[in-house]
Amino acid sequence: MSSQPAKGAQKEFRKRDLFYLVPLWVLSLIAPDPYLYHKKEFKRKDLYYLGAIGLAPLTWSDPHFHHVMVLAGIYAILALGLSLFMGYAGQISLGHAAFFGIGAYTTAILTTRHGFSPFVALWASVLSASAVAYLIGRPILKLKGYFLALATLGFGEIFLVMVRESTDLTGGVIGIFGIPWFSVAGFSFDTYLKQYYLIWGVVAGLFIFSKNLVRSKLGRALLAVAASEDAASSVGINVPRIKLEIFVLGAAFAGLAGSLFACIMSTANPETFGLGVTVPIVMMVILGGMGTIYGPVAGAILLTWLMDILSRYQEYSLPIYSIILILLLIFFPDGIGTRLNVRILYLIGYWAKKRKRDEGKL
Amino acid sequence: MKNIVSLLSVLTLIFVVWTSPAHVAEKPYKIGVNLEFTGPWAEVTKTVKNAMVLEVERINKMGGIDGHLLELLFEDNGFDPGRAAANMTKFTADKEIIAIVGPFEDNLQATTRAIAEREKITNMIICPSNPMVRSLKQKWAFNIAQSDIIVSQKLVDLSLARKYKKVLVFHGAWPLAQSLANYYKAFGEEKGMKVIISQETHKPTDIDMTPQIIKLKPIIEKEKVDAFYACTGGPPGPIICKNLRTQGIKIPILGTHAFGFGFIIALGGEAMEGVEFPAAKPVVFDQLDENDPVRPVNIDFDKRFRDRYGVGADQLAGYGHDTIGLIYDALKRCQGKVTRATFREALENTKGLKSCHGIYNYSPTDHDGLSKTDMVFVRIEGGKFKRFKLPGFE
Repeated sequence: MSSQPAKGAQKEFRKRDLFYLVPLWVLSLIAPDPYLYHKKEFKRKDLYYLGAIGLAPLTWSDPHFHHVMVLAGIYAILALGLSLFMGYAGQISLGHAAFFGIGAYTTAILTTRHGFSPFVALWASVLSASAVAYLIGRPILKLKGYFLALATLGFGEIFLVMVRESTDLTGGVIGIFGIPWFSVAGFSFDTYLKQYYLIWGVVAGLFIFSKNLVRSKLGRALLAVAASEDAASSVGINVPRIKLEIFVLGAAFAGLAGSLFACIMSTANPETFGLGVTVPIVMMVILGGMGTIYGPVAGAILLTWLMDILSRYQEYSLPIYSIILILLLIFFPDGIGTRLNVRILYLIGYWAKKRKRDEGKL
Repeated sequence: MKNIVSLLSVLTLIFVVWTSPAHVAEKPYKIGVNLEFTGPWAEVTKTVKNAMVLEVERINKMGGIDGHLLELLFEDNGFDPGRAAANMTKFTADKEIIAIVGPFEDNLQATTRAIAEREKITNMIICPSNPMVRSLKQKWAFNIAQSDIIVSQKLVDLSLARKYKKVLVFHGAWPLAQSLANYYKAFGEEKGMKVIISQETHKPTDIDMTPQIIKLKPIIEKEKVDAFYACTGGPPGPIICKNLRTQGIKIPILGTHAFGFGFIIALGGEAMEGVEFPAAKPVVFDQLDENDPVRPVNIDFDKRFRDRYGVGADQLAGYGHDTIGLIYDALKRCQGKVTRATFREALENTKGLKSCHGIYNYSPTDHDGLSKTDMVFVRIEGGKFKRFKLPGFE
């Protein structure tokens, strides 16, 4: 399908074709392709992404760019964890923000009250979020579909109530202030540029981990569970166990993100960890494409920048944002990455054949 | 030849336009405004924005500050700490911006104040309430509204004058309401009152408080409470009053300064009769003493606001007015070239600036502009705000 129109496009090359072809080509480089691992060049493309992420802050040496990308990176970690649970295992979780919050509060309490270093607090956050996820996951992962969504939603709300009411531990509605910068062995990440490399370094590490994970036995089992839980259990997959493992893993990612978030924002308070963060994360996973790991990262970057750019439209920012989201969902129902390549091929083919079709040759 | 003449005339024209006064006007002074234009505070921030725009237009019509016009740059932070912080860095990256106003919500302020401190840019906070953040004594953050401390002191005065010995506090589950309740208890018990803070709380989105009130009713009856303090803001205020009266509880109700809005009376109706609270001066600006220095400022501002937007100015519009007033005043007093540092110095030395809410005084040790004397006692009577005086406390 792709070879013939491409030939036609070369033959009847017009300058104005560049106007749409060049931006689309650039988009296709930036946007992820879930089918890349079938092809040989997947390593080259991964290196391209890594290079782009590594060089971008030097090209735009603007603190605002670094800051927004830091936030995007944190959301990318969250979305990556959720994508494993939602996209691969096919489960719904609306309580992901609670694990984010557990991570942030663990770091906040350990660093400000007990004088632990942020590095130690980071691991404690990961552990505490995973431990809570394990305890919660044991009973609620027996639920399926919407019931699981409701249970996780409830868990998120219960977490917020607990944080608001246990004033002595969490500072109640006022929260905790003055959390120190993230630092490792005396090296403090005190500028947005350093934080950029810290966060995106973590994202890259988790990305490689997830990529290997989904191609492992566990990853295959997850896809089977997503397709049909009954069928998966009939071929000897321990469905509850697999679901629990991936739930705990997603929570660990969220705990990690929460810890980094607390260090960067220097505060932790309950309003930050409600539905207001869960819904965008779910949107990032859906927009990026379910069942890919490039998708959530691309979705996180896209949505974070979208919100930042729309900020200047003040009270109109929210309507514009929602219209863009609706359009994206209509035209890219499988995620911005998944449909883009197909769309580009279609567009190239369409325009290339246009003249022939007009001339009645086709 | 003809071509050369026309070319020369065009060049002359360009030169004339280039050097004309309109073009050599000084660069404008830019102020970044980082507010919640979407989310729960959308209505509130809209009023503040309208007032700020009105004032900036007035100042620019008068010729600005030494030929420099004022320019406001608005960014919405969507009630999200991450976006509020990102807006802060966006503004600080623009070297022409000399100060940043907002955000409104407590939880967002903590982060932006820390950024302001680090990046060395003035951050003017309209509604400072979180005592923990305020106690950090930051160099670059300035507060505009009445703090919870002076509101609580004023309310204790009101309670003492009314001889309330026991007061039950029903507070909201957000930082401002909580700290108001705590300060009221602390100041009240200093003066020998008994203040009971209820275990029940409510959220800003609650539309019915009956369950909480039913639980509080036995306490009110057993402890023989003299007054009920609805320590809240926004729609929960009138809802609490209505629910109390429906439950047959007749004791006097005290409110916070956040009761001073027309919609509170409209929502509460009959139940709001007799509610007393300490209010900012714009609430009853037409009932202020004839010699009150802020009376003419309020009357003038209310007229202009009404002409432009069709509604009268309220407390929030007053905050917008005062913010721009403080900026204008500080810019006029700036020593030498206006930079972020000289602006901060000038703002910190603000003394006796008469504005809508009262007389602003900043000092290196005090970044809360207003004091207890900038508040008045108000009672709701016949669906109107009525100012009243209490001998010895006014």
